[in-house]
Amino acid sequence: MRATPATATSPGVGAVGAIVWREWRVFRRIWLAPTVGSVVEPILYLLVFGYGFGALVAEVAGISYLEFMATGAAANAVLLTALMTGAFQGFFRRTADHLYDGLLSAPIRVADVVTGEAAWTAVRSAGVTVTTMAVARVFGVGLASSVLWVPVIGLLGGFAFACLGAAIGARIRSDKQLDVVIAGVFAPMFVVSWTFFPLDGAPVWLQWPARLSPLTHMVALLRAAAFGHTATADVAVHAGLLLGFTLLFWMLAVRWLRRAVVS
Amino acid sequence: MTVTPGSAAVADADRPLRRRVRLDAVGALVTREWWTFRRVWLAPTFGSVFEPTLYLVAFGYGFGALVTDVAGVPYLDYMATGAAAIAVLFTASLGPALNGFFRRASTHLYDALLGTPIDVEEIVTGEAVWTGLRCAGVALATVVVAAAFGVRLVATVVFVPVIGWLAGFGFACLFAALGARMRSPHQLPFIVAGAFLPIFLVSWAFFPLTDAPAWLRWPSLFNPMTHLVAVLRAAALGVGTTVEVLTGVAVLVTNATLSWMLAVRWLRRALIV
Repeated sequence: MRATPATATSPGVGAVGAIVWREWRVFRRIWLAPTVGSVVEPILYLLVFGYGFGALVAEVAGISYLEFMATGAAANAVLLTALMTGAFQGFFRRTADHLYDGLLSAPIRVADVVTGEAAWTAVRSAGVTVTTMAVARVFGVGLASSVLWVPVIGLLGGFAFACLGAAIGARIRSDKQLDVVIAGVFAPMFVVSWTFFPLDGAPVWLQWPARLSPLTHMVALLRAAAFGHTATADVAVHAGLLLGFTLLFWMLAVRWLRRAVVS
Repeated sequence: MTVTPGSAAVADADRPLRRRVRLDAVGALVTREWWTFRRVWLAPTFGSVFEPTLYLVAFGYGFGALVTDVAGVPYLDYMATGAAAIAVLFTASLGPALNGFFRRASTHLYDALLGTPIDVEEIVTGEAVWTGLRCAGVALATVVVAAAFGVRLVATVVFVPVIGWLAGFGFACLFAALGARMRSPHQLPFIVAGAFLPIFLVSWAFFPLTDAPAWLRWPSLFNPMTHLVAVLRAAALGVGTTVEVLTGVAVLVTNATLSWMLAVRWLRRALIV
């Protein structure tokens, strides 16, 4: 590796680049465990849900259950990678490591920290979607050429969920509250976002919150890209909503982290 | 119970290999866990009750719309007992592993405990007994929720907390053993991908793997989770044969015994040698 280009002297792009560079240097030391996790997890989900549930249902929403599940697993992998990293890392870096206190004493703003960390997590999320689709390909899932959009969707979704996680991590006061984040934020999105099954037949009180989940729109985009058959209008709506969520979560993360570390 | 004098921190080799686990020491540790839990109870309780409920509702409605009957019972009933098993696993897996790591490496709680006349066996037993009690609670809570959703239960449902305790004790020991091997919290994904997810997924919690290929079905039959689910289903819904129930209980007892021995061995190695 070359010497660092990360001598950020002014806030903005240079500072964000410095944060991303720092993340990469941290990741280089611990890469094995998260990488093994992000490859083994989709394999297990595909194996068990593909074979187990696939034996009970052949087709879901016009595609085979294995295809449905494979794209759902990619979205869930992004949620797991980005939301959990954002929340846990945000909490521990702020309260235990005092990393942000250190960073903010350099010419780096809260917005640079949030953007840099989320940008790095987004890159990892894009990688996770690629490994999941590669695993799916090995399992015999047929992919359209528009599958090349999958990492781009992973990047956007990963950025959004990393910001959401960072926003939550900036608000919690004890590591015990991380249990509440897992049960109250992660798990609901994980299971009701059209990832394991469609909720078109579910009762309205379950269906409408599920339609508002950002993950629902991400998985819709992933399916459109992987199999290449969805109307352009639908894609635009899902992409627009996901972009809107991304912006909202970024603003929340900046505001809440600033409140937690500055004032 | 024989009271063995002497502190655990000295002369490990001089001690007889099979020491008695003293009830008063285990009781003291369980009481300590209860005191800790009393201060933080809301977050973990919310997690262990809300999460299985969510799985029950989402999978019940989601998959339930796609399939009606699974293994002779409505899918919601099938999933309800699966959700109780999932609640037990969630309570007794990553929590004990992380707790074990932080108590050993970060707060040095075990060092302090070993400075008293408490031994590694008693630490492992006390923590697992406590986690088992919590598991009994969450299994019970899950079947109560299931009953509210219209799952019809039979009278033997009263055994659910007992089964939850037994399985929770075993899983708690297994994950405490893995926690004793961790050198950094960054290694948690290994435990998630290598133990938690296979136990969670390669089981019959979500659906029967009767039609899965043999290379997937056979490992699932050696998974204690599969047997936990089978025994819970037998108790709550009254399905399954006597042989299945007896096999299931035997597997859970074996799991508890072997995992306990492993946890004692690995925690001793991590702390003392």
